[in-house]
Amino acid sequence: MKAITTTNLTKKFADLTAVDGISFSVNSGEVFGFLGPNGAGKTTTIRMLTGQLLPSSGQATVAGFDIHSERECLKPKIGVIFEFQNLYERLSAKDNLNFMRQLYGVKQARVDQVLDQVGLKDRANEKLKNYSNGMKQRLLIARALLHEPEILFMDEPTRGLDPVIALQIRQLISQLALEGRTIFLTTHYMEEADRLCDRVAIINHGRVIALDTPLKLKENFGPTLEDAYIELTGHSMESSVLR
Amino acid sequence: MNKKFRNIRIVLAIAWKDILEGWKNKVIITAVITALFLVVFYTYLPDLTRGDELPLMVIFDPYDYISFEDTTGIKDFNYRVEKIEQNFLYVLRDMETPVIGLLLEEDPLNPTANSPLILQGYYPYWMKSSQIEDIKSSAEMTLGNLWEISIEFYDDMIIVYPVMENYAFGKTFIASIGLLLQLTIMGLSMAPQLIVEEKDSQTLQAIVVSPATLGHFILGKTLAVLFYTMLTTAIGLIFVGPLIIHWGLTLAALFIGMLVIITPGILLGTLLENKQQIQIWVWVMFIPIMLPMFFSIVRILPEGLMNVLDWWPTVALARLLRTGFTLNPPINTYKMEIIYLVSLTLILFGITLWVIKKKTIKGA
Repeated sequence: MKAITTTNLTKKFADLTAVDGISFSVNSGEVFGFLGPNGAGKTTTIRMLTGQLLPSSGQATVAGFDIHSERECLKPKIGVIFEFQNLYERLSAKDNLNFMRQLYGVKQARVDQVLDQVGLKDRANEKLKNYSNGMKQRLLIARALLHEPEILFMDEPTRGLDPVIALQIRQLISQLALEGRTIFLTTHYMEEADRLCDRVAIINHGRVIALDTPLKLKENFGPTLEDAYIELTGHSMESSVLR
Repeated sequence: MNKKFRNIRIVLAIAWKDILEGWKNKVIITAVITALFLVVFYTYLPDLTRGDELPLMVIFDPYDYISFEDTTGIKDFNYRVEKIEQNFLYVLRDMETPVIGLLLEEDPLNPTANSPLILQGYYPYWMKSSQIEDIKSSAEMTLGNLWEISIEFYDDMIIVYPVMENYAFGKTFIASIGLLLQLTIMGLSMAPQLIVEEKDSQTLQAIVVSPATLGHFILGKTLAVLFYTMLTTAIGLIFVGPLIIHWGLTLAALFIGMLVIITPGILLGTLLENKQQIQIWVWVMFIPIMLPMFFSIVRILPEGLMNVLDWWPTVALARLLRTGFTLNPPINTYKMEIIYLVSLTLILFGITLWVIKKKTIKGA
């Protein structure tokens, strides 16, 4: 069963074509890596698939719902971890989750459950200004999991985190994958994609230029996924991260 | 039915989050304190600016008993003599500081009997009984010494209430302007702030991917601003309360005023993208909101323009607010104002929803 399908999905901003007719599908329960240099169209694609942005043309379904006409139906089915830590800094972790809980109509007990799941239960009542980046990232994951979505969109979830915290987040993603959730993951870390993803799509200049398992991509384009990425996009990872 | 409950739940969740967060938001707290300061300042402005100024005595002398020379010896009062009742009452209604009006029914310089000269006292409705007693005994002494007769006042005093007129001044007018300024500060600074902050911190995106729509978002924000404005107004009313005659009209006028001011604030927040833009636009909007009020008071513009300015939203709102401070205002002094301001709010809210719909379609 397909969790996500896109057909010729395109997004234009005035003269700029950010996403240029991409077509792919993501299977249910799959960890799908969506890789590409900065400005390649990754975040724009996520924004379209999560109902934040309407496509200029093309079609897509998420959890079986059309992103154009059934936007409101697909919202409860998805959870989004944004590339930035968009949390209410003046509120505690628990208040942040309580707010989202009310939007989704989820029971109070679920807040404690997700806080426990991401290891923040003991500091749930602290203001976010006392939180480290890693804790905030875990809270973002807790927020995305609150309503038990079928599909999780994760936009660079380990960016800017120290190696230990990044490892914890990767372990959490693996655990979520084991629970059978579909995960749509963008990252600049090829090792992370190699370790976590069942399949990987590489996007450049708004077009999908490769889509396969990490193993196949390595076989065809380089000894490592990073080599394959450089071969396909012409971008080194360093320049990609630094840009 | 379920969908209706779901919509209410989402709107209330957004409003409650803002109410909870507002207490911790310095900008919101500053707006609340500034708004409160304005209403208190304007209510007590006449007393603050009075200094050592003497109280006013207005003598209504319809039968022309006294001449200018007969009053020049009055030392403890500023005074004036009026021959026409309308002018006499106008002065009493217009005053912002303690005043006594007195009616000369007999010639004080040629008394017909040895009995004391009894005067009828007039006082503005907002004067406290202690102030009335003080000013009355002071007037008895001053005039008694001046005219060398015994002077007393009738026990029944006449209380003068403001009436609805085009050109209003006085303590109650200043208090209503204070309330209007309070609403303006809250509506114009808080409403866009709450919306733009969500854009700035990108928390709006988390709301957009949740079951909440932009319509829920805007309604929730409106409720939160309404809560803070009501709270600030309630505190403001503790100070202004003693001046209010018609609580029903005052509360209705304040509620309409909140909607009239908050709605453009919400529209502003919907259109603006960052806090710097708010700072500029709030000042830009403050001018067309407050300047017509000034011109409606001084009335120095041509008559045609003044007629238009009288229906400028804030001028009409100030007039509506004043009805609560007047005695039995005729329905024709506020009916059109209510219809006009409610219609204007609905139109502005319609425009806001249209802007939101446009943004939603674009996916912005």
